[in-house]
Amino acid sequence: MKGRINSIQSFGTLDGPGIRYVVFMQGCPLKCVFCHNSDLITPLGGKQIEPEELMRKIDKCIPYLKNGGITISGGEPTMQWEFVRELLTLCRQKNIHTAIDTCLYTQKKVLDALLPVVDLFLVSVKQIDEKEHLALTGKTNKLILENIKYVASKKPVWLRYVLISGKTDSEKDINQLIKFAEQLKNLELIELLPYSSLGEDKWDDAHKARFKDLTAPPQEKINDIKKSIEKNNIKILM
Amino acid sequence: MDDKKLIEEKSWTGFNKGRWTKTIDVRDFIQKNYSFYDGDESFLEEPTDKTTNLFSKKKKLLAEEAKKGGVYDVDTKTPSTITSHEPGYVDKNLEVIVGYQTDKPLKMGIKPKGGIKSTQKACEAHGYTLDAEVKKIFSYCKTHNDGVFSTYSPKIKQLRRAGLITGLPDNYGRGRIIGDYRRVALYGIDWLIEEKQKDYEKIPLDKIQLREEVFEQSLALKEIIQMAEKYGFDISKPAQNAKEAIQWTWFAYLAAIKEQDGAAMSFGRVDSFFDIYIERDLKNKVLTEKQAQELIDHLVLKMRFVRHLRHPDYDALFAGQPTWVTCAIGGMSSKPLVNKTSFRLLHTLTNLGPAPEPNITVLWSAQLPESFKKYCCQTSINTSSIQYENDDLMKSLFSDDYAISCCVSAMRVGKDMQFFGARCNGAKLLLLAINGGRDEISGEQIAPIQPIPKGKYLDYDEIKEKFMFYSNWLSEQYVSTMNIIHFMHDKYSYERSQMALHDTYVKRKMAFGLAGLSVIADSLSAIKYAKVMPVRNKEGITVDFKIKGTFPKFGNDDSEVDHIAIEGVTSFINFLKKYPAYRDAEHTLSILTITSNVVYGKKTGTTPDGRKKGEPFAPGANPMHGRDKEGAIASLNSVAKIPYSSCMDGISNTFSIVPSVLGKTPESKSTNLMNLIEGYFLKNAHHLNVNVLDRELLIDAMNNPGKYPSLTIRVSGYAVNFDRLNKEQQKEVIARTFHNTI
Repeated sequence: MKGRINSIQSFGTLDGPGIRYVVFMQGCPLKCVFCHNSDLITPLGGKQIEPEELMRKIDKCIPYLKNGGITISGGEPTMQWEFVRELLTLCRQKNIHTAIDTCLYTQKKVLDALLPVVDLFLVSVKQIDEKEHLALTGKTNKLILENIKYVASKKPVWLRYVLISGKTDSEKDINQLIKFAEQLKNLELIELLPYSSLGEDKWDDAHKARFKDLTAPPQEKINDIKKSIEKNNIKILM
Repeated sequence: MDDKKLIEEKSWTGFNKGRWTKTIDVRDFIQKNYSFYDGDESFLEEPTDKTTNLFSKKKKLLAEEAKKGGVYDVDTKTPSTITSHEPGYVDKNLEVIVGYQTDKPLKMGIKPKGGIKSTQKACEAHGYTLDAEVKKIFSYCKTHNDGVFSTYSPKIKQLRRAGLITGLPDNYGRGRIIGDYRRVALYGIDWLIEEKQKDYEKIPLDKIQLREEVFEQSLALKEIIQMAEKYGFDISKPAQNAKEAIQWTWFAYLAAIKEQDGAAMSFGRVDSFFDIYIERDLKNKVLTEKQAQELIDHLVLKMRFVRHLRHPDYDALFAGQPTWVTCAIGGMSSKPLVNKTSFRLLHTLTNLGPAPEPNITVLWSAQLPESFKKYCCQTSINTSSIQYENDDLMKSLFSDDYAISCCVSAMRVGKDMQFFGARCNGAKLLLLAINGGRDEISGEQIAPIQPIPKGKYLDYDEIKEKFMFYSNWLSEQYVSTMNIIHFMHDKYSYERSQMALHDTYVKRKMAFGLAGLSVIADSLSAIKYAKVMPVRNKEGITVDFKIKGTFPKFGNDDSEVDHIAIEGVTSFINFLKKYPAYRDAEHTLSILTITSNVVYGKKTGTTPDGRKKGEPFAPGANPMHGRDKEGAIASLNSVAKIPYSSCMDGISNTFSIVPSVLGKTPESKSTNLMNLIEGYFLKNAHHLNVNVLDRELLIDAMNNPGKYPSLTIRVSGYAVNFDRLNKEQQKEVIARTFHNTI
């Protein structure tokens, strides 16, 4: 079956360990205020491609991926899970390390389908607090948190957490994050991503107006957050 | 035992004997004696006080030179020869390694044998007047430049003017020759003269040219002894320790750059060679690691002070006064040729800061120790001063004692030489095919007349056929031009000291070049996969193209267009090979532009790929700026497909990346760069310049000259001090694809 992809980054270094071949899938169920790739939200853009055809492109990059692998990002990869499963199955046949960059806003049967072919889950958790999550993304996080726990019981997980001043960086926010992280069996690290306005120009004016005041916390605060998480024996990547 | 034997015994004590003790064979000496080092950089030492003091004095001189517009001083009276000048020093007490080209550091000599007019022009461009006596003497002597222009055909002159073949070494030294400077250290000059005399006696009388050359070689060797004597050294005998080995080798190189001002005067491959001497001294406790680093630091400080007087036209082609003191390090033999001196040479970039010279070239093999590769990558990230070349590819052709001349040109040290041939303008050649042999800028009929392609849209098969026709035609002209240039260079400006440090019977290569490869590939792809309508003026010359639809572009790992690039180079080298080269040289081809991609672009009209008239080409074999859409690896993969077997003079690729995109942590940055280079070379690619820089930094540097005095950036095949580029070239560098995605 064909998948709808937005673009390819053959040399990714920021989405998982080592050099990553990153496939950006088209379509996402959330509408996060800090989205870098808002043009990927609609499920209709991009171009269609067969897994085999994409695999032929990846094949040519294998010599570079020694300590890296492939990362399916987006968009939200779980929205096109059948395609992703096929592609990652092909990758695993070639011994390529596989990761997906996901918000895990999906059904359990999708997870069960993907778990056998994914080596690493990069999970973006926007907020642990349910109400705050709703405000930031337009969706509740109940399902998401459950799903994270579930995949973390089976596969290695990196939690990716965006730091936005006044939105996700309070002591309460961070404590909740730590508490949640401690419940995850195969958590390898938390990746802290200070908010950046790089994606803003892709938004429409109404959206821009609503969120124009978002900023990253000051460096000092970021350092404090880093320390307080590390104190709990959780590795940080930043 | 006679005297000679005794001296050799003493110089060679502790070395393993072999073939090299009986006949000149530096490679064998290295093979029998080198120590492979697979540790990390932790043994390296900081600069000594002497180095720091000398360096700060030298920095002052460099600042003065920059203030004077890049030329510190010129000796306009004394044509430079091996023995023409008295010794020069910055500070005799601080300099561990001695010897400058003239009696003062940074003072340039003149080399009028290449051409009296260009020497005069160069002097005048920098506010000097060529001495009347010199002018008078050379009014009686023919020069290389005179020789060439007395035999060029009107056609060749026309092609040169039109910018179809330019940058030719017909008004500057051809360079590109690497003497085996190590021979002087290992054997002493007396032995070398003796060997040359033996060779001379055996050369048949009808080999007149060779007899004269070898005779000249012996004279040059004697002059090198005299030059060293003035500095207080007797180099007629072999070096006895590391300091002498480096000093002797430097003198041998110094003779070359006193005699010749070739565009690229490369140093060769010395890391294993020097390391053997250093290891012996360390073992005998007559040298410390600090002193070993001091020797290498001081040698490098010498290399950074090499100067040649150039005229402004030259600067446009080779911007920023590069001297290409290229030093190849690393590579493989049966085990890696990585040793502590490979590290020490890299470490000069830390001890003495980033700098364009020497042009440090890492011969990369998948089998090199990871500790070394990582140190290279870290140094690249910190300095953007290193280039990488695929040893696994070159070793299979040139064994394990080759070096790199200029940027990407491999030659076996002391065994191969080459006739440098700059490059032809491939994009302009394609436009000839569209315009029936007329120059798209002047309208002049510069190539044979062919019917102008009919039809609203250009037809791929027709254009390709015509392109092949003109490629063949140009090849004949190009080979003839090169034959003339090198006949005359041998005749009027022979590299006697450098060739003295070669075997008497050398293998010769004739190095042709092609600029604008990615423009050709994308243009033909546009004609093939989109619809390209030529817009012609009244005279029938195309001035623009209307492109309907999309087409695959070089730099996206797309075989449909990459294949066109491959076909372009394979057919071009085959055309060149049809026409015999002077002295039975082997035809080779490079895809390398130096900075001429800017001037070539200026002289080329709008092309069918959408590039507008006057816009620069991409450098070397790079994809055109901004057309590589799938990230760095896809871009690298396209270039990796260009077959080295067709381009044995090298395929240059310049890679620029923003530091934050290389990885999140310092550790992951260097590992990712390492795996990127490794992957690229596993794809059989040949060369990679690595720049790790923020574009904003370059813009700031452009707007504030002098703010970053040591900012170094790799351009096509060499590194350059950013401040020394002109605005146009700086803009071109900034406009290049910087891989940065979030």
